[in-house]
Amino acid sequence: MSLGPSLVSPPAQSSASDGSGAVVTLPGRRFRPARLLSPLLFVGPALLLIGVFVIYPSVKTIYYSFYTQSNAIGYNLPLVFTGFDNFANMWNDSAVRTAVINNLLWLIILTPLTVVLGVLLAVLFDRVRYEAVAKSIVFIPMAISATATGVIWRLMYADDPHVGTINAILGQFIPNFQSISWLGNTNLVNFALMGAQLWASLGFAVIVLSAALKAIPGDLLEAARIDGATELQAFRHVTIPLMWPTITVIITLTMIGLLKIFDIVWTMTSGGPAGASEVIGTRMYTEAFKNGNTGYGSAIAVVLLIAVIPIMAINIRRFSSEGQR
Amino acid sequence: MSSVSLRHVYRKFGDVIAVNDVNIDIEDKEFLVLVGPSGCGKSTTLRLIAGLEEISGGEIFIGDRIVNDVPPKDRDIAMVFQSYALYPHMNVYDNLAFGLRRRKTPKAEVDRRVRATAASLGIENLLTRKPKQLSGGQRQRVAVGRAIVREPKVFLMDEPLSNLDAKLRVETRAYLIKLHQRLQTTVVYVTHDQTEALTMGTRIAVMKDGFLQQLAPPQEVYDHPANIFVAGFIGSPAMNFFDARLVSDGEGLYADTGVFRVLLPAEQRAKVLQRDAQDVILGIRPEDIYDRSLLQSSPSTDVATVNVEVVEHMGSELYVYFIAGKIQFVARLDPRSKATTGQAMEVLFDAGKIHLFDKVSQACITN
Repeated sequence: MSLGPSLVSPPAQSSASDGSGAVVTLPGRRFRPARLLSPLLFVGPALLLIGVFVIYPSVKTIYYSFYTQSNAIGYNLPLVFTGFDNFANMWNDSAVRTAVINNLLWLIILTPLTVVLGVLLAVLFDRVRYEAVAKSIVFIPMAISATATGVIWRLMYADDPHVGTINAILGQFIPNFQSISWLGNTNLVNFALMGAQLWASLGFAVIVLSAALKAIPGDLLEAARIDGATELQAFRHVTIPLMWPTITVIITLTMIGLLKIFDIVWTMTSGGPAGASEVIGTRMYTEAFKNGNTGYGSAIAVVLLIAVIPIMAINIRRFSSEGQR
Repeated sequence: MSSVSLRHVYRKFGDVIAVNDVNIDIEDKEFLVLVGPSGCGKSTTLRLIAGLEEISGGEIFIGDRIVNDVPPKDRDIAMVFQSYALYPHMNVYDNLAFGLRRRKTPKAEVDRRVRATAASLGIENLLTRKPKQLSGGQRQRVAVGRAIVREPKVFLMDEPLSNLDAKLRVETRAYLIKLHQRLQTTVVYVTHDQTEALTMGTRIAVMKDGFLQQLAPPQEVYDHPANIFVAGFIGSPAMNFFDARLVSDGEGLYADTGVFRVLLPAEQRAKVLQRDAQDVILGIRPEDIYDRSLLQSSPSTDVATVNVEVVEHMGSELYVYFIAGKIQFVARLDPRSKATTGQAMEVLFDAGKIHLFDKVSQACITN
């Protein structure tokens, strides 16, 4: 109760300075611990969780990236500070190089493919009567865990046409068809994995883009048609610009998702054959947890983190400028 | 500049017939207003002319050409939408230029026409703004500008004033009338507001439930409504309706409403006598009812004593709501009238201005 009056009544000095023209001390600007309590109660739990599960591991990973296991064999060996050695070693590590090149391939191929197919399907679905059914079908993979997706597609790609659906279908249409070893061929394996990933993630892009498409008022397109635009011009000059903010979100999310890609590759090939399908994520996991090179694995993780930051930064800046317009 | 003709036009949505056998010949340079309550088919009719709806039957001509299967972009029309439908990602200049660019107009010509149009609408200082940065009235002008910059054959306007506040609406109404006089273009204008219809149209097409009810100049629609619906829809306050019976005595033929009886003028009597039915509906506009005490000399017929229920002071006139038994009606009286709530007063019904309608067909008998 003793707090009551001090919170409500104006401080005495403000009325004292009236008329004198002196600088008035604004009431309530003094630091009061009690004022911090309620915001802290709101954000506290989230901050705690983020701290334990995101910030602490990130800091620890960065810390580890400057250390290397001693050369002795065994577990729980002491770590030795080696500065930027881990990062320098990556330059000459052909396995890491393959992983980075593969990851870039994923980005370059799958990002545009996801966006273009996403927009295309969203637009096509918008024009059919069985839209809900079509959307559900594309969306179903979203409900399947990445591990299960990996298992399903390993079966889809199986060499034996009695198991592998893809080979079975191709065998139906191509005479004298020799089963293709999708996951065993070093030239094909990356594209085969991308196919599985596309199947798994396209639904999300379609649903989000479809919502953006639906948000465009119909009379804008009608106005464009009356203004003399063909369907294609209306799409190019009205639909796409109005969907663009959503498209950039999909591009960003897809790129970040692909940089971090791990589960599909791990469950289907574990980076094989002969390391041909390694990506940064699998490389990091293998080094850190299979080969016991905690420091080296951490350094790879840090590189990945640094690669993601600019994409996020661009996106955040876009969002804040979007709000200002 | 072009005429527009609708011949037996239908538009069906499943079992619902939104536009039912509508025939309208819109002349070149005419300002035709399609008016009616919501759901009457007026907007659908406009969209049929625009080509935004597929026609289910009949023919639409723009000029001499049947446009049934012509896509909107090739009909040489422009439309102002109720929502204005400005392209939100383009500035005002690009909004105006969009249609010209789609028609491959040379760049210099686009620039010249956009600037000329903007200047004529007083929006030349807004060209670099996005629609979001404009007020409602400014957006409305840009929407009009986008339509006129292309110099189309026909303007279609779908309730273009309904998103403006009352004052701006009246201003814009006058401004659109002036614009039409200046441009001398055919305009088809959709509204649910009978005041807009009366003030703007060279002719009014009143619609209800997909049917065209009446197509005539505003004054004729007002003075000689084709049926009870048109009579009640056009005019504010609305026309009063009474169940009436035709009775004759030695002096002539009367319409007796139970509240008052009026002696039918000779001209109306002739039309009524051709019919068998005794029961009719009598309509009289609020301004055709007078406060008897203010009249110098008045006949003793066509008069009734009724109770005043509500008096609304409008400044230049009074809206007086009367009640007689279960029957209510309203009169627009001279402001000098002493009408007082709760008191009885004598009113005179102008027999020359009554309208009689058939009880079954609801059509006007006395036109």
